[in-house]
Amino acid sequence: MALEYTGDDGFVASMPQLLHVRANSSYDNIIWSTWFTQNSEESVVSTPGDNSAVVAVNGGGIFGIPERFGTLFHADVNRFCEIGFTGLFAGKVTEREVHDVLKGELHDGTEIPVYRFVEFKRGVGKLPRRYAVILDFETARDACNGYQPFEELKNHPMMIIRAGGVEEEAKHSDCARNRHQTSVMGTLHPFNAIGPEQTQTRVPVLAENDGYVDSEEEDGHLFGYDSEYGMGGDSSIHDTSMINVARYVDVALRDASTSLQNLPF
Amino acid sequence: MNMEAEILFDSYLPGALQMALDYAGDDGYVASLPQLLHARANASYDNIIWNTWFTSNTEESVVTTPHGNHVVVAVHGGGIYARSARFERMYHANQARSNLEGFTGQYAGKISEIEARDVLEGKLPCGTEIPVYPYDEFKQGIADLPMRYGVILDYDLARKSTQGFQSFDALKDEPNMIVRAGGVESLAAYLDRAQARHNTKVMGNFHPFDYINPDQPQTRVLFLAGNNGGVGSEGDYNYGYDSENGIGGYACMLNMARYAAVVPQNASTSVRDLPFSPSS
Repeated sequence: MALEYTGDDGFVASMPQLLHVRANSSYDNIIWSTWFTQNSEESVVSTPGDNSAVVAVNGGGIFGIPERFGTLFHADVNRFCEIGFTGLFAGKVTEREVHDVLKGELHDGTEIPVYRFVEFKRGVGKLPRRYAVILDFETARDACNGYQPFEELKNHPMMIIRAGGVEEEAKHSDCARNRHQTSVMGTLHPFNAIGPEQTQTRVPVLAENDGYVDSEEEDGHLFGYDSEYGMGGDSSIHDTSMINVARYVDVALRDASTSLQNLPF
Repeated sequence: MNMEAEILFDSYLPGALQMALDYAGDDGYVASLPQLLHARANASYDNIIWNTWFTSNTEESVVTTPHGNHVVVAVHGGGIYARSARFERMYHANQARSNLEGFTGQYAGKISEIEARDVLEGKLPCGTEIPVYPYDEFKQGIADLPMRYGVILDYDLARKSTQGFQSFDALKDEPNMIVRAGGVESLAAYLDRAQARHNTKVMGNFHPFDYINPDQPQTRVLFLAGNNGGVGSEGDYNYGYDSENGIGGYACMLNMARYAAVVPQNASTSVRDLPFSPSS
């Protein structure tokens, strides 16, 4: 539905776009008051040098089309199946998909730029809407997991990638902190709980609830979709499962003069 | 808060109506024919409101008064068939000619004597009471018309109203049209805009009152025609849903529907206009 709504000229919002829009909207806006699925994914892959890495694609990657989810959902759930779920409900990806995404080649024939994290952190001139960032697996694995002070998040590699850069991350963290003058925010990842030998992809979730309550609590009274754990997700089915409900945001070109939306009835 | 409209379409009329009612919620409304015409009169010709057909939340019922006179009661904003459940009751009724419910032979919805008596008094099945104006009073103009109201027109006057494609000037004084547009001024404003679109001379205005049996209480909803570009509006082009036959009051109650629902929206709490990237 999201892809159909956007058509050829629009887009399904990625994690950096969702965080950008939060940083530029009032706290009363729905963008701050519920959770979203975004058009970003994080894959664990093996590079040609046999090193493990995390490749984050913003704007639609291996799982950028619904058919790829369909392939995953209908695959044999046998442990040895190469295209089904991992034991922790990530989507297994093939060697060919890994090979292609490392080169920035996607299913639909689109080619996207792929930046190394050190280069990305320094800042890339004019970022396209769709791009990838490669981070070595150890750095991702060792990054803090859970609720962290906002100042630390500003230097957190996964947060920098998810926000679309250092400056964007700082703006979002400042806005998130100022909402209720909180001290910490959740950022979760699965990389310290999985075997990197299995190539796999997850779509991280941007959490939120009405009023942004319990955003500092690891053991708050809210669970599942009502919890406010920041963003990402560990290896729990409740947080990053690829099979649960989804809420995307589409952005499309509309000519207000041809819509009846604002007509006086 | 702004009032924002949305189109709700379904191939099953009660489905479209239910979607429209759900969308409208407690604070919004499903657009009646006067509201659709008002929106057209204030929109550019490129707007979708001019370029497709709509089902209106307006109905015309033929009923018999306690004195035995036949009249047409037009209700804007939701009347006897204001709820999708009422349509479904009609759809699922025994269609035998003698049955008091179901369709008439020409696919209007039969209504009960109680429904007919109540609508004359402005009492609707949902418990709402609405003002009901005699046509003569309505034509003179009602100050601050509510969103939901009825107008009673003598059946003979309705029956003798012109039928088919008529000159715009003639339509301005047409009783059915005055009722359907929500008054003399509203009608004139709409007709002027419709005429100016392609500098046409005539427009369609249809009603069933010259070929039905007024002894059978019955209701029809009104359709506002339209097609992309407004072509063939003088009766010489296209068929069925693509035709541009003006305002239709003899369509059956069974087909697809396209409603416009209007609700208050707080732009500051919506994602609609947010900037999703620095270059937005």
